[in-house]
Amino acid sequence: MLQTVLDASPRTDAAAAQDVHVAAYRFMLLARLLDDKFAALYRAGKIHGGVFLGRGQEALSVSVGISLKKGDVFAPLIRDAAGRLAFGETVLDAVRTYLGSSLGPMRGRDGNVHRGKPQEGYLPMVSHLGAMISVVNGVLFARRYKKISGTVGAACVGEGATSTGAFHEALNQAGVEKLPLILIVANNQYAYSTPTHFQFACDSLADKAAGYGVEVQTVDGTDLGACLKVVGEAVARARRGGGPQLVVAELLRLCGHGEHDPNDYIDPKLWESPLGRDCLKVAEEYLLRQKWMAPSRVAILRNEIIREIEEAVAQVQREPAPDPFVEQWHSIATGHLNEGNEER
Amino acid sequence: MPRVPIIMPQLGESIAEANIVAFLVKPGDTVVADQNLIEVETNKATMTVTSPCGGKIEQFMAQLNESYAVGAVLGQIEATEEEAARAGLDSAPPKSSDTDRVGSADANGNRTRVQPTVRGLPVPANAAGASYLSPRLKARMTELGLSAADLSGVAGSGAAGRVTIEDFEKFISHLEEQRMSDASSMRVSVADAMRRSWTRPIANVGMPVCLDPLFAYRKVARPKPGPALCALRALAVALAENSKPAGRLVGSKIVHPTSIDIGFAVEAEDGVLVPVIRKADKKLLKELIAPYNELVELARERKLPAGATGGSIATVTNFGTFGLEWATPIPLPEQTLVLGLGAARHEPHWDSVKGEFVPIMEANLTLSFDHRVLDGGAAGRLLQRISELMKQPENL
Repeated sequence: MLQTVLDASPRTDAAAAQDVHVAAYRFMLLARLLDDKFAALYRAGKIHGGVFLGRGQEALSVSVGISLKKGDVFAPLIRDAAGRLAFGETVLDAVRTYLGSSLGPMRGRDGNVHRGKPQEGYLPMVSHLGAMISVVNGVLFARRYKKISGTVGAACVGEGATSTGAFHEALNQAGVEKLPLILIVANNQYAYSTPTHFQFACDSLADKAAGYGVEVQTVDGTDLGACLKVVGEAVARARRGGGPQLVVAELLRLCGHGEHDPNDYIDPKLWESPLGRDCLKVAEEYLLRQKWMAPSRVAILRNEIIREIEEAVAQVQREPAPDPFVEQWHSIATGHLNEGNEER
Repeated sequence: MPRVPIIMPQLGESIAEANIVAFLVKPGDTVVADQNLIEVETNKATMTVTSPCGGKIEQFMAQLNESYAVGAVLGQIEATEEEAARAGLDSAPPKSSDTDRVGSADANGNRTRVQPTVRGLPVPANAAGASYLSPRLKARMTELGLSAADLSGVAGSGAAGRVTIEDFEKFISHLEEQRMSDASSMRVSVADAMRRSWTRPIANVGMPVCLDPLFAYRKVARPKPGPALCALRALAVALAENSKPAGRLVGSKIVHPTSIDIGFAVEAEDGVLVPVIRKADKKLLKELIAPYNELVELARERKLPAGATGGSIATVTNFGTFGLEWATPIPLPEQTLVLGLGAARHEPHWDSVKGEFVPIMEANLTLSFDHRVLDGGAAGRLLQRISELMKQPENL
C-alpha cells in the first residue's frame, strides 16, 4: 500500500522505481528478520503450535502487498509475512498472534497465521489452500452488487492448491464473471514435501489459465524487480477492468514447510539452481549496484528493524494470555471478526 | 538475578518428547538470546533448542541421551536484570487464574511420562472430566450406545481431567471382566427420563399432614378413597385455583398447563408407569375412585392403553407403600412438580384444649420441584393448600 504515499509526490520514473524498491526491500528484510525471530522463539519453547516462514518468497509476497491499495482485498498465504506487512499489518499484531497475547488480533485463541481484519479487506486465511480464492471472489461480487468500483482482490496460493477443486471452481467463476481478481501462485517446488512432478502434469502452471479464459504472466520469484513489475501490472490491469489475472512465480521455499520440518527431502540440485537464489540477497545486491542504498544504510536499516522486533517481542512477553473464564467460547463468530460489533 | 528456564520446545505437530543429543554450550558459558544451546532429536528430525535470552548458563538439569517431554525445564540461565527486561522476562505474565501455566511444571526436569503439550491449561470447571469429550471419543461412544452420564465414574487422565480415548477403552475392558446383564427397556427409558430431568435444579420441601379426617371419611364413604388419590385430587384442586406452579420454563417463557391432567406413579416390574387422570379438577373425589383403581390394575399388568399415559402436568407418588416416610422423588422431565406421600404412622399431637398429647395419624407430604420455576415459598404455599384440602375429604 505504497501508492498513496508515492502518488502524493510526483517524481521521475527512475526515482519512483527507487522508492518502491527501497520500500519493498525494507518490508522484505523486516519479514525475514521477524521470521528468524519467530523461529528462534519457537525453538526456545516460547511459541505453541506451528511456525511457518516465508523465507525465499519475500520478493513475490511484498510485490503483492505493495501493489494493493487501501480498500483492496488481500487473502495472503502462510508465507506472506512480507505481503502482510506491506499491506499494513503491524509487527505487533504478528508477534501477538504467535506469542498468544490476548491483545492480539486472534486474542490468543489461535496461533501463527490465521489472523486478519476482514473489514479492512485483509482476510484471515483458512488452511484449506485454494478455498480462499472463492472467498475473495465473494467479496468482489459483494462489492459489485454494492456498486463499489475500482478495487481489486488478490488471493495467494502455492502450486499445491492448483490441484484442489476449489482452485478450478474459483478461477472459472472469476473468468466467467470477469472479476477483478489477481491470483498469485507461488510455485515453491514443494507442497509440504510433495514435489511438482506429483502435483501437475502440464509444463507450466501458466498453461492452466487458457482453459479459464484468464490472462496469465509468469515471473522469476527470486527477482524483486521482475515481481514488482509483473504483479504491479497485473493489479493495474484488473483494476482497469481487464478481468482476472493469474501470476505464476517460480521460486524455491528456502525453509521447511514449518519450523518442525527439516526439509531434507528437497532435491539438493534445486539449491544450486537459479530458483535457489535468496531473493533478499538478490534484491540487496541490486539496490547496492544501483547505488539506491549504501552498504552502511543497509546495516543501519537492519539494526533498526532488529530493535523494532526485539521491542515488540519484549512488550508482548509481558502481555496477558487469554483468560478462559472471561473468554467468549463461541468458536466461529469471534468478536474480532465482528470488529466493533462485539457481543460480550 | 533472574533465572530463566530453558524449555523443551514443541518440535512438531505430533511430537511429545525429544532426546538430548548434544549440549552446544556448558555451564558457566555466556550466551546471547536466540543462540543454539542444545541439540535434540525427535523421531522425525534433529533440531536445536535456542536461548530465551542472553546470560550465563547456570546449570543443565537434562542428561545426555535422555528423553524429555515438551515443556520440561532442561536448564537455567542466569540473566542480568537488564537482559531479562530486554527480553520481556523481568516480570511474570499476569495470571488469569491460580492454575499453572505452560512451562511452570516439572521444575526439577524429572521425567515421568509424556504430558500433554499444554499443561495445566485452565479450562472452566464445568468443562473438565467427562463433560468435555473429543470427537473421536464421542464417535466411539455413539458406536457403543453410551452417553456422557455413563462415564461419570471415569476420572480422566487427559488435560484438565478430560476423559481420553485410552481412559475410555480401559474402562470398557474393565467392564468386560465383570458380570453384565441387559437392562430392560423399561429400565433404560426410566434412566433416560431421570437423566434428562436431572439437568434441572431440583429442590424439595415437605410437611406432615394429618390423615385422621380422611380415615374417618373412609369409614362412611362407599367406595373408599385411598390417601394417594385424595392427595391427587387435592393437588388438582389446588392447581385449578392457581396453575402457575405447574408451569414449565422454556427459554424465557413460562408455559402454562391447559388441562389439569395429573399422573400417578405405579410400580411395575423393573420400572415405574405413570397413568394419567385427565381433568382431575373437574370430577369429585368419589367419581375418581373407579377410574383410578382401573388404571392401577392396568398399569400393574402393563396393559395401559395408549392415551392413558403422557401429557400430565404433575405426578403423585405414594412412596409410603414401601414403608418410607420421606423421599425426594425426581419430577418427570416434562413436568415441574412431583407430589410425594409418605407412610402413615401414629404421632403425638399436642391438644391445647385437653392440655395433653393425643395420638393422631400423620404422613409426610413432599413436593419436589424445578427450582427455576418455583421458589420455596410458592412450593410451601402449594403444599399448605394441599394439606388443608386433604383435611376435608368430604368436600373434595
